[in-house]
Amino acid sequence: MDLLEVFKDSEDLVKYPAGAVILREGDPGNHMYVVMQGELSILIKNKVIATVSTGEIVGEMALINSDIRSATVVADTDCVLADIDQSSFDSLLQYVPDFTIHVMNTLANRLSSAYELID
Amino acid sequence: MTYLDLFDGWVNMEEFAAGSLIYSEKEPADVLYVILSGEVELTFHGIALGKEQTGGLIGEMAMINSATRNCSATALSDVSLARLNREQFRELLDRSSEFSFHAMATLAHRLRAVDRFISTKLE
Repeated sequence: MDLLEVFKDSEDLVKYPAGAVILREGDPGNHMYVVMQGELSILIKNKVIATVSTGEIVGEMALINSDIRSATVVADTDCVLADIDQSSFDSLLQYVPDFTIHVMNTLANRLSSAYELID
Repeated sequence: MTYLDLFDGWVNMEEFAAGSLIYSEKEPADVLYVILSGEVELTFHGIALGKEQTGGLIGEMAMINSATRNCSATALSDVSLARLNREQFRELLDRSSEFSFHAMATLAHRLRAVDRFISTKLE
């Protein structure tokens, strides 16, 4: 699923400069983002556990479990992100089955890297 | 949980007695299980990662991108499991948005548990 194509006309684009903290571990969260442009790092306790690039998603976990942010996300370069709030997320899950599969694959890849990290 | 209705009359069933090992880490993995009754504990290198009960999914990584089991699963009570291969899993994702959501939530839940584990190790 090409998320860049789906969100190219999004009216909720947000820009962050390199070095900006986008999400903070432990904070409550009800937004996720599609990376329209840029590179980001996912950190736990200041250690990078994954990187996210253009076309990928970040911040989805807090929307799925209605829970706090499990990790911090920092912009490594200047970034443009498409903002997805809880109600848009819920609609996407309901009406775009490919989106659910896409989120699932993202989670599976992150989980796979996380297992490797602690192995 | 209405998606459990999808497993009415499911042919590929497996039963495990309390205390028995359902699968262990590093074993080849090509099937996923939905718990129809009972409770299962997941462990990673002997450390408890979480429990799943009736309606829960276990072994879900096998369906997506992992050829071996990342954790071990042990039956905490007598359990009854519906076994799904990759094709059956994909079919259910197509058929039921509720099942899809549940599978996605299971991954998020598991990632959270592993993230917590990483967080403790980094402390």
